[in-house]
Amino acid sequence: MSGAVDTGQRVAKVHELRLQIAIRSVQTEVSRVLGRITDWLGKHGINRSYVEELELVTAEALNNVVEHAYLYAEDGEIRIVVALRPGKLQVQITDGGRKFDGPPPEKKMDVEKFSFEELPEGGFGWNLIRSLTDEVAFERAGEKNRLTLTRNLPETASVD
Amino acid sequence: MKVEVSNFGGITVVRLCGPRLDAAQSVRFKEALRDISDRGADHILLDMSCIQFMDSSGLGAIVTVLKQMGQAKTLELAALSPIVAKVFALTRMDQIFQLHQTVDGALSSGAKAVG
Repeated sequence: MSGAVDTGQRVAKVHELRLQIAIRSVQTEVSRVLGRITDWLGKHGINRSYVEELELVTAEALNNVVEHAYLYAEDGEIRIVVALRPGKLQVQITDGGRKFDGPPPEKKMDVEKFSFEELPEGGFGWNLIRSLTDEVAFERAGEKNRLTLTRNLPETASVD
Repeated sequence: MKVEVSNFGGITVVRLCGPRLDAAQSVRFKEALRDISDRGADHILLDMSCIQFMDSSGLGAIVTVLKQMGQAKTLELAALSPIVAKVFALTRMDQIFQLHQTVDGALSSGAKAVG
C-alpha cells in the first residue's frame, strides 16, 4: 500500500513541476518575480525563446493587475503559480483587486492607419498575450480574479 | 534607468543601459529622453543592445517619446534583442519605427541620407 503511494508521488513529481510565489502589487516586485520565473524555467531546460515569451505574457498580465485591479495601490497581493508539464507551460495569476470582467474582445490594431498624433501608447497587452499563448482562461473565484495562461510546448522544449 | 549619450555627425546615440525597459522603468526612460530631446537633439538613435526585456509599457514609452519629439525630428532604434524585436513585430510598430540591425549600420545609413 505504501509502495503504491510512493509511486504515485514520484509520478506526480515527474509530470508536473510548480513554482508558487506571492508578491505585492508593485512594479519593481513584478520585475523581480519575472526574473525568478525565467531563472526557474531556464534551470528546467526550457529553451530561451519560450522563456522570453512567457516572461512577456506574464509581465503583461501582472502589469494589468497592478494598474487595473489594484489601481497602483501597493498593498495588494498577487499569487503566481507557474506549472510545467510535458508539452505544457502554464501561469496562473490570482489577485484580490477590483472585479475583472475577463479579457476584452480581440481587436486588430492597424497602427499604419493611425495618424502620427493618434499613434497608440498603450492597449497592446492583450494582443501580445493572445499572440503568444494557446489558451487564455479567466474565472472569478469568490472575491478573486484568476487568469490562467497556457502555452503548448513542442517535445524538444518540454520538461527534462 | 541609466543612459549614455554620444554624438556622431548630427545623430545623438542614446545607449540604454538596461537590462529592462518595462513598466518599472518606463517613467524614468521618458524623462531621460525628454531631457535629451529638450537639449536640442533632433535625430536620436536608441541603442537597445543592453535591453534584454521590454514589455508593452516600454514600447508605449518609446511611442510617447516619438510623439513628444514630433514629426520634424527623427527617432530610430538599433540592435534589438529577439524578444524586443518580437514586441515591435507583434504590435506592428515595426512599421512605424525605423529599426536597424546594428548601431554602426544605422549611423552609416544616416550619414548617407544626410550626404
